[in-house]
Amino acid sequence: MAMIEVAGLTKIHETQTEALRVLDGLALEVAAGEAVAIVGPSGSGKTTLLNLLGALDQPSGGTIRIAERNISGLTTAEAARFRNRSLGFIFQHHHLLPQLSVLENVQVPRLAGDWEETPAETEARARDLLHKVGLDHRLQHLPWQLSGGERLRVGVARALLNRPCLVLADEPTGLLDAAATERVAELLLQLNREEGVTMVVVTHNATLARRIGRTLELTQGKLKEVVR
Amino acid sequence: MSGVSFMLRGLWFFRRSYLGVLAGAALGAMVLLGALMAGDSVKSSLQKVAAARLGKVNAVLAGGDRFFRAGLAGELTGAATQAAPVLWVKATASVQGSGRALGDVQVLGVDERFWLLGPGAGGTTTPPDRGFFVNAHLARSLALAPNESLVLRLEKPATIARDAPLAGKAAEVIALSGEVSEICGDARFGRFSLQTTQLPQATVFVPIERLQQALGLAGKANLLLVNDRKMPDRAELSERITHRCTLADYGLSVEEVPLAKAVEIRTSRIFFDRQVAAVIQHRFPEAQPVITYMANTIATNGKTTPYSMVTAVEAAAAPFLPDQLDGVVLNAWEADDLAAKAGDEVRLDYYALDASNRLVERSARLPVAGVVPLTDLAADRRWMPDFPGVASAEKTADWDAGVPIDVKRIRDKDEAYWDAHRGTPKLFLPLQKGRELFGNRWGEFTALRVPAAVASRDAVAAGLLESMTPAVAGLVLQDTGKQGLAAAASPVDFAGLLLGMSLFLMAAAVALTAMLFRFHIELRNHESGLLAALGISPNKVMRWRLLEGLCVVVAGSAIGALLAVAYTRFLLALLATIWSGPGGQGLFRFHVEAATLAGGMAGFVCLMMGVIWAVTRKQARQSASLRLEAGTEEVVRTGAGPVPWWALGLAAGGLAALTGRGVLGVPGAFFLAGFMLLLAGLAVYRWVLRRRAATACDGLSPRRLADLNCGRRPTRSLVVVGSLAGGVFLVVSVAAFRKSGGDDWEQRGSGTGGFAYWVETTRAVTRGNATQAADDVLDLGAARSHFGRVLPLRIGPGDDASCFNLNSVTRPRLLATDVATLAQLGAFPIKQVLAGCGKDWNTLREGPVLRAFVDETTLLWVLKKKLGERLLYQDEWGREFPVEIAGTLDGTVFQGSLVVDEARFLQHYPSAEGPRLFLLEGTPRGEGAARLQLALADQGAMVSTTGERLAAFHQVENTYIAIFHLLGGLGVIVGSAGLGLLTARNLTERRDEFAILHSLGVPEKTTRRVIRLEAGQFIRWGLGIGLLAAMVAILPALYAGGTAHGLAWIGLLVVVIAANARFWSWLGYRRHLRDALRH
Ligand SMILES: Nc1ncnc2c1ncn2[C@@H]1O[C@H](COP(=O)(O)OP(=O)(O)O)[C@@H](O)[C@H]1O
Ligand SMILES: [Mg+2]
Repeated sequence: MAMIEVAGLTKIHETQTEALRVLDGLALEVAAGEAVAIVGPSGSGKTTLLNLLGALDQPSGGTIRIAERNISGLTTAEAARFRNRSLGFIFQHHHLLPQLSVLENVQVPRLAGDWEETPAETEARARDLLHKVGLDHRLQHLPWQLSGGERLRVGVARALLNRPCLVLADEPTGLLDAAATERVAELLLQLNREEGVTMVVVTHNATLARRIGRTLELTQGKLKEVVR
Repeated sequence: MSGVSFMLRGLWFFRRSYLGVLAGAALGAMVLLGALMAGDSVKSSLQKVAAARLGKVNAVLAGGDRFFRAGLAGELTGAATQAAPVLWVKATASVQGSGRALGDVQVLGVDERFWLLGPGAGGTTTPPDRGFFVNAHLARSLALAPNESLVLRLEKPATIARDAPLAGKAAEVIALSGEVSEICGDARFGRFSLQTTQLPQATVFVPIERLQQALGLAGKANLLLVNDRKMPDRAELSERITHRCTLADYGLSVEEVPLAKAVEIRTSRIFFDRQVAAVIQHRFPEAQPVITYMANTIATNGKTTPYSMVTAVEAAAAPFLPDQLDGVVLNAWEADDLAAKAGDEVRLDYYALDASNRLVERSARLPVAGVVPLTDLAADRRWMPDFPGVASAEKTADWDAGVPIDVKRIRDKDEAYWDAHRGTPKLFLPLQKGRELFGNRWGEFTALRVPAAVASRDAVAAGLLESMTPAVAGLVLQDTGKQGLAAAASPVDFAGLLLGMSLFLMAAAVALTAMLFRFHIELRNHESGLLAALGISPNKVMRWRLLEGLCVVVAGSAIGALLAVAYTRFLLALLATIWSGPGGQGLFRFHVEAATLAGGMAGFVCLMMGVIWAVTRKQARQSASLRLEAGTEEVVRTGAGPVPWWALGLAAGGLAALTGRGVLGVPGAFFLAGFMLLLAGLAVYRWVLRRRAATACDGLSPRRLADLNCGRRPTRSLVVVGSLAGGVFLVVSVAAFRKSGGDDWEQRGSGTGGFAYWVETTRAVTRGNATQAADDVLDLGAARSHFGRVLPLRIGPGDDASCFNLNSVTRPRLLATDVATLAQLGAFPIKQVLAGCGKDWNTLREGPVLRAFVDETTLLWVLKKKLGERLLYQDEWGREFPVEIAGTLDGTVFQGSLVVDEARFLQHYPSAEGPRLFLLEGTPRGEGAARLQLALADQGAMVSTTGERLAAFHQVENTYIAIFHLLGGLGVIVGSAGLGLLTARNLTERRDEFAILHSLGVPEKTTRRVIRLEAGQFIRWGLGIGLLAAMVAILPALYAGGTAHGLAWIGLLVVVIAANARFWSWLGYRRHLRDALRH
């Protein structure tokens, strides 16, 4: 089963003076449980693509189907619900809420309301995920007490709280050193295996891309398989 | 973790960032609630005063100079009604054996029933027979020590107004002394007064019997206080009073005149009120009027008879007269004295009052139609009424008639006639002629005779009683319950006034708070973006933000409410300096209604949340994106046109406002114009900001960088420049309205009319025993030469409506004077007159209704009426009549009163007492006041200079302005604090920018310069726009004079404001520059 089916995807950024065609008839297919790395020069449109896949933005043309569901026509509310239920995001800047502890930060998606699990179940799941990312001894710490790599791992745990079918990561290791990058790569692949979650990872990091396996390059608004 | 706990965590975590919002909300709430609380306090204090003033009294029968039986009270008292008789007079009080004296003291003759009507359950003990009670105000004013004795000097009331001809002897002043045994507080009815004012009135309580005895008014009262529980209908009470009144209460008596075969009706007032005469004639159409008057001289054939009574009557009542009398009939004695016979012409000299109320001698020439023998009815002594001082005189030479009598003219034969015949008239003339010659404003007839054939004495008495009502007799029933409440319920709307004055401060506080809140939201932009990306709907996030804001605002309002209590006390203390009057400390008690507090808080929270919502809506709605930085920038539409149309429109509107001078008044129009220019200025600034962003730069300089930075977040810049400009505008433009008056007192056209002194006496001053010019009414004795012209004014009914009275006054006191004199002098500035009226005092003598001039301030702010509107007054008999506001005066000593023409006034109040108010020319310095005080000690005079009086009025306005300045100044400080915060905020926000400049090798000096230029730009624009607008607003004030004073004051203000703005931006700059430039 294909988790992501994208065809003829076009995105034009309109500014006051000019229109910028960032994506131009892009096609992409990712199978369920597959992990994909997307590389490309800065400004090529990688973040734009992830925004579209994550239903954070509306395409100018083309279709996007995630888990057999067309998401290009969703209303804002529907899109929000879809993200909250089915997607996980991992950001370059960790973006943890400074006022919340590690354990609470992981549970933030629950704030959307009408969560199916009970609070206790959610918290158990958060503890479990934090255990998986190796932070079970820092549950009550605040974000500023963590290192960059640790914060990123909290972000990863948060992305998985809702058992997403698809995780989108935008340059997750951009700010990390080699050792930390290695740990994160290991973690992502482990989660991909254990949780069976589909992953699209945008990265500049060659090591990470190589470890993920299937790599696509975004140039001139289109994706191209990188064959190694 | 639930939404609520998430929110609470946010609140706690960002508490420092929220502190500013909290402080701003607290300040705004304090100002708003303070104004409301002050309003409540004033209102409740005035209500308390009204309650203390009137106690349980809800109706009053007021007789003034008409006295009725004190027993009426007892007859009215019943299950639902309590009544107390009071004998009320004015007096001067002095402390025995000391120089301490006080004029205008009300003396109340009371019995225990009076105390029962008091507000509290105070005792009912009445002063001991030889003692006094006084109220707290009098005790304070006279610095009365325990057991000191008071001497009251009071005037014996006359049966008829003192200035009526033949009103009897000159005022008789008597002294009453006694020890003060109790000082009555409010609960003991010490505040009792029928004057609608918050100021206490000095009062002495005396046992009613003692006062009655002293005044020769045994068993009489002139005030009936009633507590009638059958509210609200007064008709029933009025009916019961009418039912209980006797002829004595109406001052009427009925007696048989056997010689005339008639029943004669007389009035204790000598002349029948025209009202009463009409009632009697209506009831008994057969009643024959009689006029008996004094002729100073009857002369013919070169012979004269001095001081004789003459009677005008119809033949129907005097059968000895020919049916169609044409001319006069002499009695035999007189015909003999003058050697006159039918066909001769006699000259009749008699006293009358001229238009200016001066006693003048007039003459009439009448032919002699016949002579009657001095027998029977023609010799009846009863033709003469009981002229005071005449009727009981032993000899003609003893006459004390209240008119000048030349005793030398009286011959022995005149004394012999008096001995034998007393006041038997020596001459009879036709009734109509008598009315023409002797009629005066008090009435015409001295008796009405009902033929005995028509009705017996008892039948006349019964019929009379049936037709009369207290109102016709001048006893007016007033509904004090309603009046008192109405007056206290709608005083100057202090809440509104203070709110108006706080508007700018509140706006500044609210704008600043909203700005701070927005800073806070911006600080948490990433959080919002993240939550959106995680699928939490932006609406929900915005709700959380607003809820957080709500918590902070509510907490702030609660703190503000606490602060408002202190702030209100401060405001009340400030207000009390004006309105408490001397010794009236503690007039204003803090009071707040729960509803006001709740409403005010709710209103403020709603306002605050509305503004917060408006400024954060855009930010909170930002679209989710993986680029979480998006949305921190303000979206600026840079498409500014070539010309700021908006601004031009506003400026044009401002100029157009100047054409509305007629409606708004000159200062109002200019103020509006200035305000429009202020808005125009801000529109220009906005346009400049946009334009800068739009125009391509040619060469980057620190100035350009500063310009761009200011334009980067135009809303912020506009808030800061706007609050600075608004503050400057308000503070400066209001400063120009400060008044300092009385310097030009010498000018006729000034508010003093060229008079130096304002003298009010306790007792009305009446023309003495000489035909004096109006100037000399006031007997100044040796001091006369120090003063110039004297302008006497009669004080009519109504309450003081000057700015010193906080109660709402619907009928300002009438001041009546001979306006012809004022017209001739060209005194006082007449500002505006009704179309069709001359711009001249003489216009008051014309028109179908009584016309009045009133000070513009009183008209606009106290009466809230317009030129040409009419106020309803009750005349002497309780009938309503209109007074038309025919013109306004500009800042005169007459503030709070309506000035009317004396002659016209007397038509409505014929029995009005003589003048009690005098304006004197002189030099308002040195010993003048002391001299006057001394010369007029007997009259109980209160002397002040006109300059002092004007200054006191201005003091009120200046206090308003001071409050306004205080609040405006606070607003400016808040505005400039905003500037400081903004500077600080800009610096922290732009750390990256500075880091880059640093790394690019730009020297720190340049960076600092950019920052300074930015703050400087705000200050320049803010001050510039504000000043420019203010200058337009104060143009008329500057033009009108006091320029040097005004400009100096304004210059000082501007310097202070500029320095203040600099200080705050420097503070923000100093605190944060080091941080920002730390690389
Ligand atoms: N909101 C926007 N408005 C205008 N242009 C944008 C916007 N977002 C992205 N772009 C432009 O689209 C291009 C692709 O951006 P992005 O997707 O962020 O690239 P990448 O993530 O590959 O570096 C860039 O040239 C960027 O300037
Ligand atoms: Mg990117």
